[in-house]
Amino acid sequence: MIDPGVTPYAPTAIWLEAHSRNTGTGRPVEDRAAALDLGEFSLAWVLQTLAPLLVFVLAAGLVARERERGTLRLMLASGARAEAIVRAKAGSLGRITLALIAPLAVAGVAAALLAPAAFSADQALRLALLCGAYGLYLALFLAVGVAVSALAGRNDRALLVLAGVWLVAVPLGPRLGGTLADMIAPTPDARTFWAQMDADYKNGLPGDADSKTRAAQLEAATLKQYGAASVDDLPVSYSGISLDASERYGYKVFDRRFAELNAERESQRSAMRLASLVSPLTAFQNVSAGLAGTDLAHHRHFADAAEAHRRLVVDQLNADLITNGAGKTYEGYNADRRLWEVVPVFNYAQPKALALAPAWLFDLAILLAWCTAGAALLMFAGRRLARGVL
Amino acid sequence: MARLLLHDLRLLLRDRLALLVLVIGLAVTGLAVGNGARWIDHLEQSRSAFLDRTQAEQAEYRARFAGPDWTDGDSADAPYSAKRSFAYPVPVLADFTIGRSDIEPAMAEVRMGYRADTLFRNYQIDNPERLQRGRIDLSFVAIVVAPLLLIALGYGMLASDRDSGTLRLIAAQAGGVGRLVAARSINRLALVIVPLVLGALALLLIGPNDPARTEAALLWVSVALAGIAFWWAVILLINALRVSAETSAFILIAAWILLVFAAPPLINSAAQALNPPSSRMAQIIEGRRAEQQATETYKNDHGTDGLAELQRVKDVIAQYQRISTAHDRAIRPLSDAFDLQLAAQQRAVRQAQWLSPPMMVSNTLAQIAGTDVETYGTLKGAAFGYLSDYQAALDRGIANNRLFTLADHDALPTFQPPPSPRPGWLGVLWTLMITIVILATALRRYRRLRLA
Repeated sequence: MIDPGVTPYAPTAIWLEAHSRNTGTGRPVEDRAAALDLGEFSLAWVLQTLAPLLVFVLAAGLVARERERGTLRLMLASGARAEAIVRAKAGSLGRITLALIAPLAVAGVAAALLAPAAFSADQALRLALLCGAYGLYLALFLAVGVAVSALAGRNDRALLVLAGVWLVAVPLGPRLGGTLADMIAPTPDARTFWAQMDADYKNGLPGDADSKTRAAQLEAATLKQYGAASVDDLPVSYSGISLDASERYGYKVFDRRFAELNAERESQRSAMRLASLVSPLTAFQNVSAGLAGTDLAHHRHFADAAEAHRRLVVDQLNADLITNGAGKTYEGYNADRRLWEVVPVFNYAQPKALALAPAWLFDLAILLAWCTAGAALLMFAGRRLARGVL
Repeated sequence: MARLLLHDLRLLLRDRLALLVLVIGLAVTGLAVGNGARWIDHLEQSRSAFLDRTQAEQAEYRARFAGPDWTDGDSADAPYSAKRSFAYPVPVLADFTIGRSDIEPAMAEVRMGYRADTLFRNYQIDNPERLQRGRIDLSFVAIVVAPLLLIALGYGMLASDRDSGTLRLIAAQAGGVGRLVAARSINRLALVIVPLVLGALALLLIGPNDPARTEAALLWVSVALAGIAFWWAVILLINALRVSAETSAFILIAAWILLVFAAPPLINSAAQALNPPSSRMAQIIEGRRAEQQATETYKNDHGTDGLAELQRVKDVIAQYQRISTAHDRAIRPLSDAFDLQLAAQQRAVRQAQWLSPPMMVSNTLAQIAGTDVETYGTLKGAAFGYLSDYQAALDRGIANNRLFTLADHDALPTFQPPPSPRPGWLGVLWTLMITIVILATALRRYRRLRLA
């Protein structure tokens, strides 16, 4: 409700089945009708993109207009310190900015009231941290806005410079990150990704035999284990054993290729962070979505839980086939109600607010670095103001 | 006029803001070109790798079919084991406007039992975080960045001189307001347009060697220029009003935010709120229920135990096909309702776009590039039609109750991509009409200004 994060771009459902670790389906973005994609309308979108511009518009004239009207010189001549004037201007705008964060708290409370489950302490913590993070983010724009107003000679120039800063920070910065990520760590083509897995399975992972050899080795090992002359003499279902071995080899292949995919995503995240050199928004989006529970780490947590459940079910099914399918064909074997009653239902538990914090702590550090730079710029502008006017 | 142009250009290039605009314009265009070139290359390579691989597999399959080791059992199983593959053509200007080409599936395999809801599967491996951030392409430069650069160059074109009281003097020296506005317009427009046109030219030269690209690129540039003309007309009009440079900058930035930045998400959200589609989850659940029911029915009614092996395989395959058909039939009302709502959303967005000329231009650019909603909708429709033809061919084979032959295999239909929908020019005409009206209003005011 507050920040959809990557949700519009991530699959919303994962089909769990034997033999395949599916990547999911139903990305909301595919149902979007407009050609120009500049984000998903949400409270976070307003606060991340429009609120900084509003802060800039309000900040542009704060000092520059005093300078244009000549009242700044008057204030300084009457003994007011330039730094104190800049601080006071920033403070007054800060109070207005605080009002911008109010809708966030209201939305949080509304979300709590509308949610089917009771408002938990974890949600309260998430909301409080979100309010704090948005406060920091907007304070940064406030500091930059007032500093530019103090440094610019004219009000219109201040407004233009701030509009330029906003252009780079908001619409351009994240896209620059996306573009860099594509160039530095391109995502593999989906078909190639799956073809590689098929090849891994068929030809074997490095150090492993191919599927035919593995099948022969399995048969020999099984016959030896049971002291049987042929698979028909086995007291268990060889079809089940073979299926089980095949699934378990599939797990190895999936683990390898999905680990590579996740590593590529991490590389992309690092590449996107390069855009933090020109914009704090990329890093802040990670923090905001992380706290809202809608970032990539949460999505992956869900996908991993689903895969763990898939393996649990598949292993149970194969174990039952091995035990009860001896001497029967696939069509001859039927699992009864007893089996389905012991197969657990998938119950997903959302991780706690700080459980996946490592995914965004570095981004928080980037945001803090930006805030420090913003505060330094504000102090510099205050000192420079006195020299520039008098 | 030439001397006036040259003089204004010299002044402009001494202005740090103008140089900054030029640097930003060139840098962003450079990124857009690099990214666009890489993207279309990725699309081309993915497509050819997929087609090479699947066609090699199919050739190998056919060779086995025609070979001496092929058995009757294999023939009985052939409707299931045979498959075809297809890939959409690469959008003609995907490097200019990436559009939906980074989220839509573009290739698939078709075989027995595949349904519309499972035809495109497991293609969604892209990093959602990367998708969320978007990409810089030439369309983004033309629609989002160029207008802001123009605003930076033009907000005070006359307003600043008016504020400082020098407008009348400068206009007199230039030989009239009209000449002054013309000279300043040409130079400022050139500063923004030249990098964009150079970018388009670079993409055309380094992109795929497709004759259709030249015409499409010319159209694309013309439409992009129409969008830029709209913004310049607005800038001229605001400068013609008796407002200060500060107010001019404020109005122009507000207009840009409203028309470019806020309109698309707002219109999308409104369209979704007004036409909420049924949940995709509901479709999945209903499909699964139908599949289970059909499986039970056919398993119970058509037991295959005791049949001869060949007949058993044929029966299993026939059941599989019927289960798939039953599933399709079960979810059709839901998917039809979903598609209707989606179409209503798209209609609402198309209608609302008339309020925002930049959105109109953006949509037309995507249409020319072949990466818009309608083009992918047409391609998807053709893919589903092809799937239906393929399954119907299998159905006919199964109904004959004879073994699948090599001739049957070779006669399985292949995918024919539909012609791309023609771009809708009404949106561009509308933008041009608005531009002309705004420009005429601005010029009338300038004429009055000269007479004053």
